[in-house]
Amino acid sequence: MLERDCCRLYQVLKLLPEFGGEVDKPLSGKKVLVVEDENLLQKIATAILSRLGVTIEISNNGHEALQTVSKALEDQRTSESPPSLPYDYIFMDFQMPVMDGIAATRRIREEEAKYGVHIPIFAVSAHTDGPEIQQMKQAGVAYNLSKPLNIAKITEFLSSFEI
Amino acid sequence: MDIVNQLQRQYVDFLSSLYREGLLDDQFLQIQKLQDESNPEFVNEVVTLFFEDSEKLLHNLAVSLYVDQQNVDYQKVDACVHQFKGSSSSIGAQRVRNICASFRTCYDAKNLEGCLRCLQQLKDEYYLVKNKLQTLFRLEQQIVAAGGVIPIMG
Repeated sequence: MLERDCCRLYQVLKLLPEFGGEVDKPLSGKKVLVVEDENLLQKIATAILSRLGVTIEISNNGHEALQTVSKALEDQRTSESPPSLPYDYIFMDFQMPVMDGIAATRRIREEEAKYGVHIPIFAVSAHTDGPEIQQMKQAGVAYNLSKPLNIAKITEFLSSFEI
Repeated sequence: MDIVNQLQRQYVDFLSSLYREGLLDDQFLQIQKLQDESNPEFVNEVVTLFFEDSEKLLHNLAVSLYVDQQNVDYQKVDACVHQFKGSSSSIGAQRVRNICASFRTCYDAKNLEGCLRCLQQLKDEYYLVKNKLQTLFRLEQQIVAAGGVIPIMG
């Protein structure tokens, strides 16, 4: 398992120009929903994911995210093309106004259940442990990416996750 | 090109001192790495946002802790400090981030005196790193104006 994970990590890292690679967008074709209320953090997440070739959409809080995901799932159901996930991943902040990350994750999971799909949700939290992390996991978060986000952290994480 | 070399050396020495003194950590280098031809003003834009957000948060904290000391809303204090912790760690302002951690201990315990002390420390560290970053950007502008390129560190 370790060897396979190392191989995959190695393969992705080798693509990056920083490590002599020629493909500078190793995650191109991926679509990510970033759920974050603060401009500064939206800007950083956008820059990191754009550098990796990802198409990004932003929701300013959990409520917007829920609406966006629900609509995307509904639209796919009515379209004639084969079903696929509207987003490859969701990056979910914890503390947001209107609806926080825990409630949003729970509600998105409920919505997904109607369509039999599952979009990986990653929490982006200033905490590394504690009750909030437990709550996020119970709500259906796959992993907690602790702040601060940067290219190295996201690349390493996504390469070890199923791409 | 002697003046450019001089300015570049000054820049490297100055930035190195910020890392050495713990004002900045590796995350600042990560932020610099995100600046490229498609995003040429990224660092400046991010740091400017950080300054704007931080000053709002410091104002809100002062209001929460000074206006009605018999009825401090510690949840509001938590929300502000939590946001400050996230933003300072995201740009690599290490010492500011560390004060936020001690601040949490004080407001969790509803220790008003401790909170007031932490707020003062937060202000001191924030204005210090703001001052240093502004000096850094001035050095960058001088290098570019003299026809040089900004040295990449790390």
